[in-house]
This record gives sequence, structure tokens and C-alpha cells, in this order.
Amino acid sequence: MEIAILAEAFYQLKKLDKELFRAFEKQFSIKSEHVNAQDIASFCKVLFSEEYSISEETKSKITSVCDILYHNIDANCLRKMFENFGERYKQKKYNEEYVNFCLRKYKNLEKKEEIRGANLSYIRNEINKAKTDEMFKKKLMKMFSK
Amino acid sequence: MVHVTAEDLFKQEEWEQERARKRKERKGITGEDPVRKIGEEILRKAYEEPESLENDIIEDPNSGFIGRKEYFEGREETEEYKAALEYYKEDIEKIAKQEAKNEARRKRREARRKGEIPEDPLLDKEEPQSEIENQTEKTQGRKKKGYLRDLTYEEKKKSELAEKEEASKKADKKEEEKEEEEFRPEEEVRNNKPKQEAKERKEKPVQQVKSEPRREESVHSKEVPPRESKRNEEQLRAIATEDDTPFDAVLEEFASFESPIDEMVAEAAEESSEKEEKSTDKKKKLVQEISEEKIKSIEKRLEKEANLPEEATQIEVSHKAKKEPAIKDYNTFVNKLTKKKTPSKFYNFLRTVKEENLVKLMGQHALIEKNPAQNIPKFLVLMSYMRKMKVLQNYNREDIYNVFNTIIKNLDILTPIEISSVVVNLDRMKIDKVEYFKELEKKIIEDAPKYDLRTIANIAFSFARISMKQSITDNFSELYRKLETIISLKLNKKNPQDICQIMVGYSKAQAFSPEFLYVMEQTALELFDRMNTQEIAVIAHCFVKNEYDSEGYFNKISKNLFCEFNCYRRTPSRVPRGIQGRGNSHFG
Repeated sequence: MEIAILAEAFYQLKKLDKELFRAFEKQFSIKSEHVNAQDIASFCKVLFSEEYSISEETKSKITSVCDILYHNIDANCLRKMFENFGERYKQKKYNEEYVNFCLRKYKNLEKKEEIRGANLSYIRNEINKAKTDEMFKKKLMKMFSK
Repeated sequence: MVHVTAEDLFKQEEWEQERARKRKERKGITGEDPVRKIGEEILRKAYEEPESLENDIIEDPNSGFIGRKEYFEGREETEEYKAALEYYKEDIEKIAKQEAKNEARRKRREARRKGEIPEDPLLDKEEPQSEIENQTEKTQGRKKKGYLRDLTYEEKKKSELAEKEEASKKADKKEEEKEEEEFRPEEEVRNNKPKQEAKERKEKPVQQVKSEPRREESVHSKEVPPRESKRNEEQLRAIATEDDTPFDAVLEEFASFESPIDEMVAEAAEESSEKEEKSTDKKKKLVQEISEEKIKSIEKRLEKEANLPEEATQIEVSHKAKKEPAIKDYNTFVNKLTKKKTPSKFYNFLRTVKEENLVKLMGQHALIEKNPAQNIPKFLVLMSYMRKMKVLQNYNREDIYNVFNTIIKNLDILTPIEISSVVVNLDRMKIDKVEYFKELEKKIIEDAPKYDLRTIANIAFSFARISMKQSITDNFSELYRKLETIISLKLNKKNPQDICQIMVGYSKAQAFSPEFLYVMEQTALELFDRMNTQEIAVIAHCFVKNEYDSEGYFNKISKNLFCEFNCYRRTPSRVPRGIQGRGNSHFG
């Protein structure tokens, strides 16, 4: 979807101002039913940015879309979803459901050996960054002990 | 020649004057001639309407003329009508005669078509004497009767001499005719047209029914004049009498020519009513013979078909199958391929072919070598069609490699579009033979200035996908560098779709130079108003991937994102070729 591509492009070139960010948020809420796995990953990357914050409504919309697209999300998408995960977790940009979803998917892909190389190392690195938080550590232990 | 004498003209003048006088008398005060009006109407209707309105036609008891009811009913008793009838009596009689003749002719023709009367020019006793001839006869008759104007002595003498000369000439002619009739050989009589026709019929007994109208035409075109026909008939009779055989025996001779039995029967019926029974017997016999012949011929044909080799029957079946949508025969399919046809027509033809035959045909790479210029485009179309229809799951096959080998050998004769088609097919079929691409690269570098922007865009995109493969070590940097300058020169004919495709190709191949990125940025800015949102996004993505910070381009996008907000809601009319993998949503 063109909006997701544009949002990602603006984010990467650091040309994203507040107005533009709001515009993309609005566009996502309008077109949330027309996104695919790559699009939602791009939106996650942009909308959970450290600079700007989104509404709770948009957050819940993102998690619901992610749940629907669970089986379509691959290692590349997950890497985007784990963009600056440690930093953002500490800033509490994510809601509980989104964190659970990301960890569940990571566990699933790792178990299936569908994630490897740069993607795997990047995600592990981001998880390790977030491990400094005790709550997250407990959650992680609980999830991977099962 | 028609000889109209001064006397005739004088008589006609007198007659005309008298007619005019009578007309004037009838006109009276109004100045109109009612009788003439009615008469003209009757004549007009006589010519025009009797044939078209069959139900309303009746025969006039006074004139014996056939016409519409409304012209005769209620008008018969009026004086005007009677006067008109009297006045136009001669004309009406003429028309009636002509009508009768025409009807008789028509009936005869119909009978011939049905086969009741033989198509024998001897029996065609038409007398197409023109009115002029009739007039001359009348005038001659008048002369004989002494209706001569008071002429001078010299004039009278001259006319008498002319009459004598004419009479003597006529007498001579009659004598000559008699002599001819007497000394005419038998062969001539026997070798008449009917005989030849009968022979023709003998040769083609099956096509008899269909060829009848043609024969009729031919007979009429070479129609024997009535005099000659009479003469022939007399000759026939004479021959018959000489041989002590009746006239019917001569007719039987015609029967030996295997002329249609119906015709002969009708002839016999006309000649003598006594021998009707015999003729019907003949008819039956001949009908039986004909039917037997027909049955035999059909049986023979069936036998022949049964004895034919399998291939021949296959061809016949395929010939019949032309009308059907699906062609089952492989041989005809190959024949179709070798025929001169445009690739677009060939593509339509492929739709009618079975998948098995498509695969079989792919193995016929020898066909390309027969006529490479003609058959390579068809094979490329075939490959595209097979890809589109997903006939094969795996293209790593020997037959496909053979086809590509022969195509690569004949690269010199290919057009730019065909070369781009080869590249696209190699890319889509996931064929990663380095040799092919090296050959193609050479060829493209040589001929690139001849290519248009669309072809270059296709090549750039497909080569990028090929270069991403693990087995291909080359990144075709030389090709992309060469194409950069050619693309820059051909940007006067730019369009968003091609620019988009070129940028994606260069981006994937990682072949963008900073200069070329700048050129493309300027081009994208120029084309911005013509782009749809997808194209805008793809080009933006390419800039981001190549770490090119295009302020102008992104500013334009951000402005548009607020000013023309709705444009981002619309679904694009066409999907750009660069982002095909990321198009559909899972909700839609």
C-alpha cells in the first residue's frame, strides 16, 4: 500500500513532522482494513516512533490487524515490527497486546527455523535491550519456559 | 431491317388525327379526357400490379384482361369505362398476349426446373418476335391488300419492283432451306446439344440436381433460334421415318444418354397421351436406376474413407474441427504454427489448443530453424501463453532449453521487442544460464540506441531480477551503465510507468549512479502530476533505498498529502510493474 511505503520512506529520511505523522495515523485508521503484512509492519515501524505518540484507539487497531495477519507475517515483517524495540518498550510506546504478539511470533518463527541471519540477530539484540526491564524479563521467561 | 414507307407514315398520321379529334370531342368543357385517364390507369395496373397482388386479381369479362378487382368491379357498366376499353382495345390485347406468353414461358421454366420437361432446345418453341417485326409483317400485308396511297407512276413502279425482288429473295431462301434439310447428314443431328448435355450428366450423375440451373443458363445463352429448332425437329422426324422407327424411338435414344427421366416422361406426355403408361414405367425405372447409382456411389465413398490411412482421416477430422473451438489434432496445430500469422492472431489461436499440444509443440525447436524470423516470435508468444496459463509448474526442462538455445543463436535477426520478450521470459521462467544473459547483454549493448524507453524499462527490470539470483555472479554493471546514457537521451518520450520500472530495476540491481539518480529525480518531478499514488510511493521508496535525499520530491509529496488528501484514497487504475509483489491486501 502506497501510504505505508510513503510513511516508511519519510521516517527513514527523517522527514516526518507532527502534521505528517498525524496524517499517516489518520490514513492508517481509514485504511486499516486494506493493509497486508508488509504494510502493517511499515505502519508499526512508523507509528510507534519515539518522537510522536499515537492514540490508544490506533494501538488497539494495530494489534487487532496484527492478530488477523498473524500467519502472513514473516521474518522481514517481524524485524520491522521490532524496530527500536528496546528503546520504545522502555518509553512505553507499545501496549501489552502488541508486545505479547511480537514475542509470540518471534518464538513461533524461531521454533520453525524460519528466522535466521540478520533478522534473527537484530530481533535478539532488541530483546536483550528490553531485558533490562524486570517485567519484560519475567514475561520472557514465562513465555519461553512453556 | 424494317422498311417503313411513306404510305405507312401517312396512314399513321391520319389515324393519329382521327384519335385526336375523338379525344377533343370527349373532353368537352373540363378539358380533361376521362376515358384516357381510365385507360392509362388500366394499362399501368395491367403492367404493374397483377403479379404483386394475387388475391385481388380477376379476369375482366369484357376485355379478357387480368387485373385487380377494384378496376373492374363497379366500373364495368359505366360509359367511360366501356369507351376506354374500346379505345385501348388494341393495346390491352397486346398486353394480354404478352402476359399469356410470359406465363407460358414461366410455366415451362418451372417445369424444367422441376424436371417435368426436358431441357431440350428442340422442344423450346419460343417465338420471340419483336413488335417491329410484327409491324413490318402488317405493313407488308397491307401492301399486298392494296392499301396504297395514290402515288406517281414512277413511285408505283419502284415499289412494285422492290416487292418483286423481296418475293424472289424469299423464294430462294425457302429453296435453300429445303435443300439443307434434305442433305443434312445424320451425324450432325445426332451430335446435337442434348446429346452432349446427356453425356455430361452421365459423367456427373451425383451433382445433377445442383448443376441444373447452370445448365439451364447455358442452354439459354446458346439458345437455338426457333426456326432452327423447328428444322431440327423436322430433321429428327425425317430420320426417324427413314429408319422406319417412330419418333418415340428417337426420344428413347435420348434416354440412352441418361438424361433425367422426368424430362423424358414430360416430353413423351406432350407428344402422345396414349403412351403415358409406358413413360411412367420408364420414369420409375430410371428413378430406380438413379437411386441405385446414388446408393452405389455413397457406398463407394464410404469404402474409400474406410480404406484411407489414419493420417488422412485425422486431417479430415481436423478440417471439420475448424469450426469447433478446440482443435484436438496436433498436426493441424503444427501446420497452423508454420502458416504466416501475426503473433497476436497466433495468441488467439493458442486459446483453442489443448495444454498437451502446447507442451508437445515446445519440443519442436526444429521449427524455429526452418524459418527463424517467423517462428521465434510465435515461440515467444507460446512461452508467454504457457506461463500465463500456468501450463507447466517447472520450466527447468530440456525442451525449453533447446528452444532458448536456438533463439540465442538467432539473436541477430530479432527486433528490440522480441529481445525484451526473450529477457522477460528467461526471468519469469527462472532460467539462470549465465551464457544466455551474456549473449543478450552483448546484443543489447550493441543495439540499445535503437530501443525505445518501454523496451529498455523491461530489460532493466528483468535483468535486475536475474542479477539477484544466487547463481548469477554478474551484476551487469556494464549494461546498466550503457543504458543510463541511452535512457537519459530518450526521456523526451517519458511516461510514469516506464520511469517507475526503470527506477525499480536500477534500485534492485544496485546500479544507480548519483548522476543518474539526479536525472531520475528531475524526471519524476516533471511527471509528478501525471503519476498515481502507487508510482509516487515506488519512486520515493527507490530514493530511500539508494539513500538519496530528494527534498523537492518529498516536499511535493507532503504538500500533496494535505492539499489533495483524497487522491490517496483512490485505488490506482493500473498497478505499476515495480511493486507487483506488494499489491493486494488480505482483507480485500
